[in-house]
Amino acid sequence: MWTYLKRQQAYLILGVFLVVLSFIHTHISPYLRQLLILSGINIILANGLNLISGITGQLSLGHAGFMAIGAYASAYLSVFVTGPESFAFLLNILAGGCLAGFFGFILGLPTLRLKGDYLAIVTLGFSEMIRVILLNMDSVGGARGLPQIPHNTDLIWTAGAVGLSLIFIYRMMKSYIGRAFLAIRENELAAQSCGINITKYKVISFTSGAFLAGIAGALFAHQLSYINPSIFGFIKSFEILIMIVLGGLGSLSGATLAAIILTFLPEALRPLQQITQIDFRMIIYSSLLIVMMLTRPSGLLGKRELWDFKIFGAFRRS
Amino acid sequence: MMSQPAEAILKVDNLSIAFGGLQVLMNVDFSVYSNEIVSLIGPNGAGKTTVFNIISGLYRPTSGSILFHSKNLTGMHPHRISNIGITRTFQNIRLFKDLTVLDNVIIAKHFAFCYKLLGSLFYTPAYVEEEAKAEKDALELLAVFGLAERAHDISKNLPYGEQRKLEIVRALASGVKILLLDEPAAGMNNAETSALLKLIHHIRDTFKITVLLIEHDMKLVMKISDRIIVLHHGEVIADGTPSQIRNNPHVVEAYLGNPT
Ligand SMILES: Nc1ncnc2c1ncn2[C@@H]1O[C@H](COP(=O)(O)OP(=O)(O)O)[C@@H](O)[C@H]1O
Ligand SMILES: [Mg+2]
Repeated sequence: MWTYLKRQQAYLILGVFLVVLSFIHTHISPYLRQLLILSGINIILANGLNLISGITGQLSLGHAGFMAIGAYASAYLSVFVTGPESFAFLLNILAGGCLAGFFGFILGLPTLRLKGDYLAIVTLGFSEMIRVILLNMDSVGGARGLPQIPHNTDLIWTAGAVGLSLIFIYRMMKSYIGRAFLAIRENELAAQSCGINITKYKVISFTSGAFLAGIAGALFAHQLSYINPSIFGFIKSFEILIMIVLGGLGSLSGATLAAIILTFLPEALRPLQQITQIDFRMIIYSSLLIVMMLTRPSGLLGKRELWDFKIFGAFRRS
Repeated sequence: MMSQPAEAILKVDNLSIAFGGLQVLMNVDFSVYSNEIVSLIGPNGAGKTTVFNIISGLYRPTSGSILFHSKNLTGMHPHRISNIGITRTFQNIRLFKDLTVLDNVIIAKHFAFCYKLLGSLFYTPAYVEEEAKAEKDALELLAVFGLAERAHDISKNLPYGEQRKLEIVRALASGVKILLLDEPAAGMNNAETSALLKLIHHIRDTFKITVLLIEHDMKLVMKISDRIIVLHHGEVIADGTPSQIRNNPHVVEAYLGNPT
């Protein structure tokens, strides 16, 4: 357990980090800034899915669907209702997250009772359905997409959202709620015989993951300023899934690390891509997946966290 | 059975269940009294585990019911049955394999936590207190069973016998009143088995609980049981003290005559 002092120190470090960030974020190149923001959004997406699939063990293939709900809901509010004020932006992000969470709840309640791979199929179908509905919704631009979304998302907003999301998940994992998630992943029958209402905790996990996806979607929409339904297809869900598989299902720091790597790696290979005219992203994802499965089937960190490793022992909590 | 109190703590009332065309249990009827060690024995496939599956809420019987202190449990969710105080172990061990020994036990204390999610987010006094108490209680319980040293090991790395023991500790941690043990001695050698039987006696006496035990090795069962119920092809063919069972002609014919 953290000592009182250490907890103070952690918040101090976080505070200093944000202050430094607010000074430098205008001085780094727009390109790097955008990559950092995208990393942050991917960190939230990956950790949200990790909560559902890595920690609670419920395979979901529709994370992009919840992201789309958050993106569209918040963008619609910003464009047609509130305008670009910061406070309105904050409320719109939360509205996007809540609507996505609500859909997660509605979808999860009946399907999480089912066993096995049903959830994977239902979530895949759900996210495709969301995409098709958006394609046909003229009020949000249909296939043409929704342009002129205020460009509110900056590094500070993103860093704040990432920090709060990670603290939220980390603290949840330090409670009986998080332990119930793990118990369900490990063995549903044993979890029940320990008095855990498995449907209830699956729904809590699923709803929280969907909420985080909605938040990430909202940040994403206000970063890109333009969204269309095809952004939120199956490939996007797959991308997020790869992140948590790569990082190690169930590991917070693993998912975070993998989200950063998988944001920067395709960019590093962009010159090669321009010469050869091949989209390397999918090739990278597939080959990474194959290499991982052959060499480290449990992901970069497995179920452990960065601070569980000896070399990081200095940061280990007492 | 003069000494038995009038009211059974657990009553299995005329239980029948069929899977498709297969009649697995037929009018199974028996009672368990407070603080008893009762063994459910019978050849493989007799339906013993199925009785446990129904008591713990995993299966719904075709007819009949389960009464706990005269309260009908039939159709209740498994987690609620655990919360009421009936907890089982499994014939094939079901630990939370990738979690530590300590976490396995703390998870079973799920019922003991009252704080809300916000409590954990903001580190409220209630959170700190409840978590500390759960950890302390779990460590104490592990110490009683000689597993304290192993508390921070990943549970799948324990030797087989200790895994079985941990499953029992986990059941005790959940505030159990009736402990259902499904072949706890399976896969153990003679020395381990007799140690386990002593342990079961010890648990009954110190934790003041009732034990219902499945074991298909009759010789072992004779030693620790207050009462034995014999199941054969889904029917109860005998119910009595070890000496009554030993001399029961039906049992001798159905069971002893055909050793497994
Ligand atoms: N879910 C099920 N579906 C079909 N048959 C089952 C099911 N559960 C148990 N059985 C059958 O019930 C019979 C008794 O099984 P079980 O209770 O496990 O026996 P025991 O524990 O006494 O060895 C077996 O023939 C088994 O195949
Ligand atoms: Mg059995």
